[in-house]
Amino acid sequence: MDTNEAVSQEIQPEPDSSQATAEPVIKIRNLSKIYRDFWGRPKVQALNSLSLDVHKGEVFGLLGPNGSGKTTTMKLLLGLLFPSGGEISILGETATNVEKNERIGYLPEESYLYKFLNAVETLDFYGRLFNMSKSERRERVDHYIEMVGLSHAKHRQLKEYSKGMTRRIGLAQALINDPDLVLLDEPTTGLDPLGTRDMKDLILKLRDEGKTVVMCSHLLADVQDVCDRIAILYEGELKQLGRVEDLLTEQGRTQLMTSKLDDSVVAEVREVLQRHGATVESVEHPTSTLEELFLRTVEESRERPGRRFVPEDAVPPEPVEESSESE
Amino acid sequence: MSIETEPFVFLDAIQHWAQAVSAFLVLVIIGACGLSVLTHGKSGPMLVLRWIPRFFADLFQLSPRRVFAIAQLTFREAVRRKALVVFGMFALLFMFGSWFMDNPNEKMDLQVKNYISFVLTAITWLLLPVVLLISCWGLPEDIRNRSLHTVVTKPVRKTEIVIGRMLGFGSLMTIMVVVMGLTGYVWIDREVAHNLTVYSESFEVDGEETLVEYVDLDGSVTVRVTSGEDPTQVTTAVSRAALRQDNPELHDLAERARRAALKRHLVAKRPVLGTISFKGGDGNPTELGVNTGDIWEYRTYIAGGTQWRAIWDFENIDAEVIRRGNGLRLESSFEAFRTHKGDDIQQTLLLQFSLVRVNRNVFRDADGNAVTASAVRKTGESSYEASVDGETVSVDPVPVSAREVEVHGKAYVLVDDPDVAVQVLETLKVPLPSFNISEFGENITLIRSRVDFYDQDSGERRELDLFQDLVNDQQELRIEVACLDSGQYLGMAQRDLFVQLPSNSFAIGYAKAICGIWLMLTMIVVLGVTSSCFLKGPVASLLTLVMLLVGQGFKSFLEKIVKGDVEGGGPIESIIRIIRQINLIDDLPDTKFYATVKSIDSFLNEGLYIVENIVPDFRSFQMDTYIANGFDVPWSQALAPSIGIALAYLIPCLVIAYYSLSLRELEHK
Repeated sequence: MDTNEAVSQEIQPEPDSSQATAEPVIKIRNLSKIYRDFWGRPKVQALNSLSLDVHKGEVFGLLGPNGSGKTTTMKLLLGLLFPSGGEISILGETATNVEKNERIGYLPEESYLYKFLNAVETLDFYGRLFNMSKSERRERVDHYIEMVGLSHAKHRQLKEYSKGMTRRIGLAQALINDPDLVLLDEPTTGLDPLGTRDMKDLILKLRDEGKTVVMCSHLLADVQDVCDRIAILYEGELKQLGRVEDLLTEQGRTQLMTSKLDDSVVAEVREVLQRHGATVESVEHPTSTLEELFLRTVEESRERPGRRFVPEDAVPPEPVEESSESE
Repeated sequence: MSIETEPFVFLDAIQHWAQAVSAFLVLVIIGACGLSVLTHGKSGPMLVLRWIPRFFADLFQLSPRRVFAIAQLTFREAVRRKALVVFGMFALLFMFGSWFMDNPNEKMDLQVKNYISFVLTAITWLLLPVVLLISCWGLPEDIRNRSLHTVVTKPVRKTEIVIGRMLGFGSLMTIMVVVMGLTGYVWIDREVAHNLTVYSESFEVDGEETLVEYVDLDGSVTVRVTSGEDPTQVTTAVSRAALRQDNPELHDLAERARRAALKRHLVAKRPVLGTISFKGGDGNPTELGVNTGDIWEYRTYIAGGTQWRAIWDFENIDAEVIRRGNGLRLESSFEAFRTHKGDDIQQTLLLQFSLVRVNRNVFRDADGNAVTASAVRKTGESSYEASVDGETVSVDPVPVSAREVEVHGKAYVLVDDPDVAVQVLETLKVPLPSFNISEFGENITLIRSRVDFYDQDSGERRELDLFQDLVNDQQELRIEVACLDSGQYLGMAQRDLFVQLPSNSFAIGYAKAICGIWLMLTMIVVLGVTSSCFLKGPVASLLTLVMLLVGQGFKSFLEKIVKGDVEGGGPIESIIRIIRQINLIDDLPDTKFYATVKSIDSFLNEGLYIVENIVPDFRSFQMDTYIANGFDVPWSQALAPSIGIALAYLIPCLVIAYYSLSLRELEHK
């Protein structure tokens, strides 16, 4: 038996007991995708016998290196590609059924929006595709522009937008129909740390509202922050599937974290641990993440404008003479 | 009211269309199933078949809001691609076009024709490439930029995308056509009025018929006024402005003549065409006239000073036509073939029209069965009998209209029953005064509603009512034409004589011609959007262009090849003939090789037959020649078939576009 087959046979969708009874929002069984050339000859096997379930109200992450098949999976779910084998059920419908799109929001990897429209026109256009009335559209357009923080640029054409702004308006169009299922392809790409934080907060907010979110990303830290469950793909095959905590928790090791201890107390603790047969690997002060540092700095700068970091060896600046008028 | 020689029979057209489209769609589905095996493997055909009911379901779930959203987006996208630059080019053409159009030596009707043709040709050829390119490149660009991904992942049906695209491009094109059409109309009106260089008009001045002739040559303006027999005034000035300054009265007269000339030439005449047949030298009906050796068989000739006659039968001549026209206005233009020349060559030919009341009867027995004419015998003034199956029965003449019969050889026969002959009785014949006609000129003959003539039978003058006495109960009128110059021949074709209905205004005829351009561009949009659903921009443009070129320029040739009217055989046979230098009309040797070649050619011919029937007939959208020649665009002969063609292609194109988008992996590179 092939090793990959062995792995794929081992990994089966295992829903929580609470979710087992409910029909999954996305159900994929033995999904395969082969890209063919003009003559129909197989070129690349992008997905091989993928099976997984996504349940209502969870944030599900698809991880994997480039070419692992995560974007292909996303596009198969949306009906942009047709499967070579296997089955997909999304919100109880087949992937090619148009009606399912009423309840889906999709943020593509890059924002492929119409760049000659401005933000209001863009959202209004997509609102019309959902057959919304004029008053409803107006209300939602204002709401989502406000939500993604583009009120100041809502009448500028999208071609003038920065990458981050384009991602934001892309997100707004994905949410315009208040979807039950949101598919986000690399949602934090191109966003600055503040934008990334906002995006992650929003994903968690969507989950709290009972919506299901499926995202694929390269940025593992982001996935770790927001995803309830993840699937790791490699060369088109499922290699890992499960709850993030379960997959990351190392059952064979224990980590203690306390308030600051004196060296004598540390030595005492080491002694106790050794007495119980434990191996102490390291004792050190924990570090924060760069993201946390950045966000804290920005937050402080907002609260105390004018404060600057001055290196210790820097010459202090000359005091600025005040003008006679101010005296 | 108008009589058309080839009327558009709606029901027949629908039936033919339904058969052709059904066959075509079955082929499309079979082809799609075959292709889908290559692209989707074994599940492909099932996927194709699954989309059939979805297509109909989608049609019923069309959302106007979504369609208009896509149409509006398409419109804006096309505007952003600077499609409206074409207006600039149009303006440039009109600003400087008149520099190259002044031609003082031409006849007045040709001058007017030049202006109208210029405007309609400019509109067509400026818009054609723009419309073709934007409609062929729109969708492929959307797919390439992946903007379409954000649309198809919304609850949008593929039919909505296709219809929205067609509507968007169509509305942009409509705006361009309307703006250009209106500008063109104003330009024609102003330019023709300003630039007419030669005209001669008669009208009443101080109670006297006066002819005003005006010629504007480079460097001189000549006005000649003729009242009564002789010219009363001949004036020459260096320019129109100088004429106005030096002789304001004459200038006003010339202006009046110009307005009259405009009114006469800038019109949309409505011709009523009849069917033509002949009477030979022995007075019997004949299919064609005399052959004078002209290989072009469009016209055949009647011999002057003999029993030869050309006969036109007009239908649907009702009282309203005669009342509105204050009589019957006939326009004729004939071609002469002269057997003796000399001074006569400059002279016009002497011609005579006769109005004939014709009654056509078929004979039926008491049970209503038609009886063959050979069995019918006349037994009294209006009583007939016939022997049917050995029995003699009395039969009644039943009047029929000309539409129910057709000219077939020398006899009139019923269309549906060739064994039954029709009795054609010329019950009343009114010869009109003879008159001179000029060759290829517009000879107008007005027949008043009261016809006064000398009855040779009674030897006295009689007055008849044109409609009551000469038009028969089926509202038909026959006009017989005789050439009175012996030794000369007069060439006649069906369109050489027609009844003129009261003319429509030029604006109406012009609007119809613009409508023809609009329909042609609509076809381009429909074909362009459809081909762009399964091809990339450049290839879609090429395909649409090829269809346009074949449908416009090569359709007649294609028809001839398919019908086998082209000498030299099919493609392979003609290549062999070229290589072996075998003459086109020589028979090929009777060998197995040539038999195989011919059978391959006949197979290829079947393929050409399909192509010929698939490619739309773009010739039918060309209505500019009607209005440029001063005629109205006939509804049933030109406009209705064009609308029919556009609609007929819309539905199968929609199906093909739907399938192409549905079965296409938008993300697949």
